[in-house]
Amino acid sequence: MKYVICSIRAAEIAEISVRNHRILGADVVLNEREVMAASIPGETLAQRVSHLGGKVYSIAQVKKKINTK
Amino acid sequence: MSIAVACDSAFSPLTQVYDSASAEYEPDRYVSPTVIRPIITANATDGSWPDPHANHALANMKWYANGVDISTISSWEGKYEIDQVGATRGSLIIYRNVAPSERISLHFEAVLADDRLGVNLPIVTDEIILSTIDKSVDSWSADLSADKSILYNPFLDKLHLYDYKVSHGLISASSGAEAAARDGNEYQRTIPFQVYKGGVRQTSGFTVQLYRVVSTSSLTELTADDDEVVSISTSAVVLDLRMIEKDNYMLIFKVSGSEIARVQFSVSRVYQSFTCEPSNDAPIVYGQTERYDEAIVNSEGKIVDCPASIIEIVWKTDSAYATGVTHNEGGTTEYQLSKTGVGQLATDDWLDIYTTATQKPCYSVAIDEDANILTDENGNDLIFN
Repeated sequence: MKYVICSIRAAEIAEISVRNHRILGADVVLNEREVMAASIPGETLAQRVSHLGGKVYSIAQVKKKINTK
Repeated sequence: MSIAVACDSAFSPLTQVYDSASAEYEPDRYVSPTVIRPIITANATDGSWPDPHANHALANMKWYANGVDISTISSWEGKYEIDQVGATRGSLIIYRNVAPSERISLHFEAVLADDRLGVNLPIVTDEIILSTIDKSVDSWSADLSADKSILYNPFLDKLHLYDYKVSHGLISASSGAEAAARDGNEYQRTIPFQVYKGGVRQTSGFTVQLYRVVSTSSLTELTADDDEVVSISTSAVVLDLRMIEKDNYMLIFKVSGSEIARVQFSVSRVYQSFTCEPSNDAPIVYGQTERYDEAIVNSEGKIVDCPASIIEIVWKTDSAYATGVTHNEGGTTEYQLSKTGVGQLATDDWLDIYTTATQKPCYSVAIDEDANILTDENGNDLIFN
């Protein structure tokens, strides 16, 4: 499973509730499933993340970011 | 008063999936926490309880895992939070992954302060289960240890050369020499494979069937009785690559008769470029009646040992009075000069000696006119090319 880090603002615009999510400053960590289920244009995760203005990470990369925040 | 409990994180549910192949949880709760919310609603028939959503009034909140207060369980330390705010107060935010072997029953206990009556009402939710599915447990997979595109190059096959030399009396049979000839390029090729269940390699509990791919929709099962098959076991198939020109094969793995995995691979015979030249440059002398010659085959910068074992070399001569005279096939030739049409005068005593050489195709099993397989005295099939 991939994870997405995008701005909280972008997630809220996409109507993704960021409550109880990992917050990294002004960004939020979303998992692949919720990005794919959200009302965001795009067929693929990459296309959707592009609309969110975010970036895709592996679990190891996200854990590293959380642990070094 | 109504007491309920529910998962409040649709995309991080109560049941995780564990991929043992990557050792990852999907989702990983450390990143995507699971949230379980006690839902406490209260009403008073006289309307004295103003807000039915009562979570904000909870006190003495505790979550229990398998009946034990999680604040006292070391494996939960630092891996959860209890929401303290508003309508979601009391929610358990879980950052802890649950191993596939674990099954955790959670329940929530608290008190709800009823200021109207000056009492604390006990709250105990039903149990809710955290579990994990190991998606690899029942998933089988198989793969080849070797390349799926297997090439057989007779020029590199030292075992084939060893067999040729022994059968032609050029060397004596030797187990040491035979073993040394097996350097990975030999025709008797072991194609190992591994079968996994849940990421763990299996050596039994399944069967293997080998098929030749006839078309995209047609397979022909092969057994050790077939020409190109030496053996089939649960760890490898051994093929005789001499018998294969170009074919695709499919390994199908089954458990209790049901297919659980398949792997396709191909085998191709390599045709390598080479040159073939007669080596006898000596002139024909007066009175000579026979002539001997030996082919020198060069490929990839090396002289090919016993070239007739892999190349069909046909000896021919041209002379003043006969062109394209064919003599014999083989690595050497010995022919009567009278057959060549060579003259005896200065103007017609020339003779061109040359070969036509082509790499031999794959072997076939020798059969008689009634399609009976020809065998040696030990019952081994005779093959030729």
